[in-house]
Amino acid sequence: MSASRLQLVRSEPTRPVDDDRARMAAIARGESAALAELYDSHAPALLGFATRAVGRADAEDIVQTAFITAARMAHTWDGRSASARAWLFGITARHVKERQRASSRFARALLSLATEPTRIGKSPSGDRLDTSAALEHLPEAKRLVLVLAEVEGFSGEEISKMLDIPLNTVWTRLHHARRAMRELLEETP
Amino acid sequence: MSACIRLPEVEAAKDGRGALDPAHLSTCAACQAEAASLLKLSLDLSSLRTALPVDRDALARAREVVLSSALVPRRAIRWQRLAVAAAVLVVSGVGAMVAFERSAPTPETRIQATDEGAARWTIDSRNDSEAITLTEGTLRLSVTRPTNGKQVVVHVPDGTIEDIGTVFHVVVANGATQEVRVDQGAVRLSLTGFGVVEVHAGEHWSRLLELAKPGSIGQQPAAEGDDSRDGEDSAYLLVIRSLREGSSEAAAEAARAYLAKYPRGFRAREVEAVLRPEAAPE
Repeated sequence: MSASRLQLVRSEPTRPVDDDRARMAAIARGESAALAELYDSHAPALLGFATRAVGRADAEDIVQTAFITAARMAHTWDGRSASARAWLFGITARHVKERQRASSRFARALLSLATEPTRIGKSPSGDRLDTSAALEHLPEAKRLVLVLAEVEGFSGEEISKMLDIPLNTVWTRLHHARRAMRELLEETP
Repeated sequence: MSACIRLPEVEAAKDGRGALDPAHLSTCAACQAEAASLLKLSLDLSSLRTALPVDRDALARAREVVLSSALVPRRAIRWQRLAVAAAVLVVSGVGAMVAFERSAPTPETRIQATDEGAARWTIDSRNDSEAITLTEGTLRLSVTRPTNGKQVVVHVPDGTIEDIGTVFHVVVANGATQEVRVDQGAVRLSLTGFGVVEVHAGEHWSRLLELAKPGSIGQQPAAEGDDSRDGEDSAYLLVIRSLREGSSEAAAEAARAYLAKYPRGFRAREVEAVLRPEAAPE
């Protein structure tokens, strides 16, 4: 790898240039058409994010709850501090955290019944699913930060605001998540 | 390959929180390997964004629920929200609704607080009560309190809300309590301008609805009604209600009263429009 390539590593996903500000103002006034537009613009990405964070079974419910929350709180949105996309991801991330906290007890109970340590599932279809499987083995807090940073392309500052954690905590979790991922993937031929 | 002490700089450079000397990178095999490893992981992870097929059916189902429930009047929302909450409970178990659980110092009283939207709150255990201070946002509180347990008091910017063994939601915005919904039990509201009100299971208190109730405006304390935004809202609502009731004289009187108290009020132009027909020569 050349030195110049390192500068290209950080990639931001395409951020649609849209009129979210007008939409949010209209939603705050109770206009359902604006809410429909906001939903159609962002719901697919949020559903993907929620699916990676908590699985397919709960993702639909989380996205639904997140948009209902967003509609109710539209009047509190401040476009200067966060884009509508980042704001929606923040609301969704909070619902994800709620769901993870709630389900962690149940998961711990199930794990306590296991007689053998869990293993990473391998997929015959290649690296992509191996990466996805490894992601599922990360602790929830680290997985959330890693997904927001590397999959969704948010900056450390944006993640810090979304999850309401210090910026240094974001970097620490990101570092440990990457290290864990690399170890998991190296162990999975 | 020996490890390089500058390896952390590679990750910092990737995250945009530091710079790595290109001259060092071009000569250090360890840093090059680290950069390659980080790049591969980054590419693998970013590819996940498009790896999942979009579940169109799930999107359509959620869209229907969101659009049908998110912007309808609050009273209708309550039952739909409860239906959604019930479905969540069935799927995920009772614990699925718990966002944040803090056990009170006294074991008797348990509080489960769920941030339902941008809630800014703190909890403080006092001698006689568990004091929750909610300054902004929506908070759901589930309180399990035995007979001798500490009472839970929610301090909102405009008063207090005392639980009477209950599950309830509080919405605070613009420095005032906008809404209280009670799912179980009851709460006692003591809010500035509204006196003491008990809200029971299935009931819903809304600032706007209270202000719009016939007779409620005259019950506002004069000092607060005159000086606060509530007073201005109340005076404006009196004009609107009179118009809706078809009483143009009462509306004009209310409009004059509004303009006398709030000549530069938020609704002054609208209220002046009410008076214009009367001002026209007969």
